[in-house]
Amino acid sequence: MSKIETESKRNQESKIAVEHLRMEYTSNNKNFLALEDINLNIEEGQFVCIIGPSGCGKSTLLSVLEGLYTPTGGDVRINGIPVDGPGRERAVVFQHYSLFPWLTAKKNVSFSIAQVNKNIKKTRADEISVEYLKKVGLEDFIEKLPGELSGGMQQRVAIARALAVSPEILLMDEPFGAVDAKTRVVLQELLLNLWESDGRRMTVVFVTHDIDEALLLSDRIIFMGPKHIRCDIPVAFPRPREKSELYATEEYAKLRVELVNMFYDDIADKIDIEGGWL
Amino acid sequence: MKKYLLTLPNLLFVVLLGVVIWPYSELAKIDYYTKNPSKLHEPTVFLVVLVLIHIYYLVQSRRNNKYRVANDIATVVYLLLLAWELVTMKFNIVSRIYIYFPPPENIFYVFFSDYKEILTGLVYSMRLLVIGFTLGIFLGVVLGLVVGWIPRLRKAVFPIAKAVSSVPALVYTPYVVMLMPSFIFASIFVIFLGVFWPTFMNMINRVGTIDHKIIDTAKVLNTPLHTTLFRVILPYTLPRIINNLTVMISVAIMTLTAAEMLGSNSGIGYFIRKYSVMIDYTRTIAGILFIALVVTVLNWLVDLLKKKLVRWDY
Repeated sequence: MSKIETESKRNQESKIAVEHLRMEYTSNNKNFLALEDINLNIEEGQFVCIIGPSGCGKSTLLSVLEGLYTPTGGDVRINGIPVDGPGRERAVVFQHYSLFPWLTAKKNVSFSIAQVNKNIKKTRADEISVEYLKKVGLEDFIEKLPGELSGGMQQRVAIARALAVSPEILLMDEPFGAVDAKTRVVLQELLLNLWESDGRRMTVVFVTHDIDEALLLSDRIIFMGPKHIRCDIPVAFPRPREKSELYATEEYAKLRVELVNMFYDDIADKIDIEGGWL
Repeated sequence: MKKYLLTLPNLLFVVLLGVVIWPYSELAKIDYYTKNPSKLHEPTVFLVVLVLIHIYYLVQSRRNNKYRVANDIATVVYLLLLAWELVTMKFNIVSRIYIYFPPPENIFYVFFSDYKEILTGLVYSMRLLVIGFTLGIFLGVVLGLVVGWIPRLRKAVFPIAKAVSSVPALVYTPYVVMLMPSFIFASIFVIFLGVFWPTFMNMINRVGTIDHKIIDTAKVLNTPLHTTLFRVILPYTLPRIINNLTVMISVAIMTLTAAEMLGSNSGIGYFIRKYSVMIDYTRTIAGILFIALVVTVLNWLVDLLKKKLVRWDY
């Protein structure tokens, strides 16, 4: 393939392209199939939520996109380039405990900046770090260690750390799964505001098992069943979204019922197959 | 204020001072062997030490949360000193016991009369200790980091290291002292081994069992290998290293003093051996107390280091 052809292929290709992805683990000499024939295209600027029951492989799929797992089959391309480990165009927010406990909030963020931009001066990295910590509302906690922050605040730092490297793609693995309900609402709004107010509109892949969270945040919901994608649901509510307004609309209620039913169908399936599952 | 004045330690302190100053039997001053008055009998140094201890106690007991602990510790220390003083100096129970259990006045006076020899020995010993110790910690940490990081190397080296490290350095000290060209080499070498093996083993273990979330985070932040090793894994293991320093200091002092007792001509261990051979138990006990003091100071330094370096682990 000539260079021009490659270029044009890149241009027409999706931001994230997954083809026939297969993921198999070997543990204790036993093979375990986590994902089978996953096909998925995510366009630039899309906010995609991956939702599904626990154990369906949604976190595994995200880990493949993060570059932490090497797929055992199929192709994963970002910007048309096959994924080979983590990359600087991607930033990740894990569920919990991903900050370095020996670094202050500020230093955690500037550490990540320094990894992406090797020649940056320490003082400049710190400046950017403070700027992003302010954006997530932590201006009074800049010099605190993670152990001195609440779970919600730690996730704010993790978000600041991810955004501070100006990634093209933000990968989030149940980022609000470990915080209390009230904090979760606050963090969802924070994320939504940051994403909507940013002119670039990052591509976001967000794994969750919370239907309301997915409906509030995403443009598109990928509903996963065990090892495969069950369906792909567009979420076309207008933006900027306001939680209270959104909840009042009929479309929201309809879509929500549909998704909830799908969740329970899934459990019903399991009962049929395995018998006496509950 | 009244509460502070009428404490048990204050009372014991006054009693102890009184007992020390009170006239004692002339017999107690006589050296058992030479039958002459002991040159070491001079209570001033002991009195000064007592006053210093008491000032330290007063400072500590003023700190709110330490009040009870300071009181208890001071009480125990004063009771022991009082018993020691009474048994040896005041009642002089059996003069034969006297040479084995010299009175505290005499022992503390040694720190004054023999300070030159003690300090020379301290410098000599500390030089060996610092070199062997630093080498052991440094190589143990760096090699442990690398070996622990590479699974294949770890699996090969760990069982061997485990077997080798289970032999205490103390056991082969005499052999090494004989084998090496000079005593200085020998003692640095045994201190090094005594510190190296446990540090190395600990490092391999800690790196091998590192929380995978930490590694995953470093990976997705695009951290290169050397940064991951020295700026992620090293700080992660630092609390364990520093906690172990306290134990390592005891190990190092143990091997050093053992080595010095075998083939040195200076040092704090040598001091003890020399005077115990000469049946001068006053100086022997002074040497033992001095080592306790040195270890205490070193541990105190480690605590300072810990508070400074691993604030996050508290």
